[in-house]
Amino acid sequence: MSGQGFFFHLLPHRPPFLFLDRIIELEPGKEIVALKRVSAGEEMVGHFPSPGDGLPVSLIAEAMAQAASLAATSAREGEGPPSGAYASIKEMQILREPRSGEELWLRMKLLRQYGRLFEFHGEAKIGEELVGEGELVFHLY
Amino acid sequence: MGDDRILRDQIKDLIIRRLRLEISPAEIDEGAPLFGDGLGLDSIDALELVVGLEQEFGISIPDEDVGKEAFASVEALCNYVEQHRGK
Repeated sequence: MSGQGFFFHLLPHRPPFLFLDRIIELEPGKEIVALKRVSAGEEMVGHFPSPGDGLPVSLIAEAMAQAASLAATSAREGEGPPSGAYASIKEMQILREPRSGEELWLRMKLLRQYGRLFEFHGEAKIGEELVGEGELVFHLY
Repeated sequence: MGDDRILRDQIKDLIIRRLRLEISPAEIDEGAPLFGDGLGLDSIDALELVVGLEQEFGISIPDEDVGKEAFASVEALCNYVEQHRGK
């Protein structure tokens, strides 16, 4: 399944705190590939502003979380307004800050589901360069 | 030390280590519920135990219904591991 925003209504986030521009691939409940284009002016978003003109590193994890949320909530589409929250982040490493003009590719893959908990492994890449990796647990209410 | 005792100690060690509990194995009542009033674990802890059992014992807890039974107590979890180990 692919699309250019058909599923964004499943996320409560709105600009400037929406860090996904496009959904490239989506297998509801299982996997998502999404794209974030980094633009000037985003360096001051978040608690830890970027020293340059890029996206603060903490927001790579936020973008990964938003992508995984979409993958989880899209599995329950049509069952009323979805809501949830992140329960844990494990072994997250961010290797560098994405700069203005770069495209951040996010791939989140379900590792396991236990009840309403969805554990994802995620990668953030710029081209072939890995810039972030980690595991996130999303709790769907 | 019998196999049953060894397994109970291994399970208690897994629970303490995986969930970073600041208690000793002797403080875990083997018959008490792991969740709620017993050890006070929650659903995130359950997921961590599911991962731990997979990685350390090669045993899967496929869903919450099975989890409710397996995680009823240390004793119940040992029985579940014994029944499913090597399958």
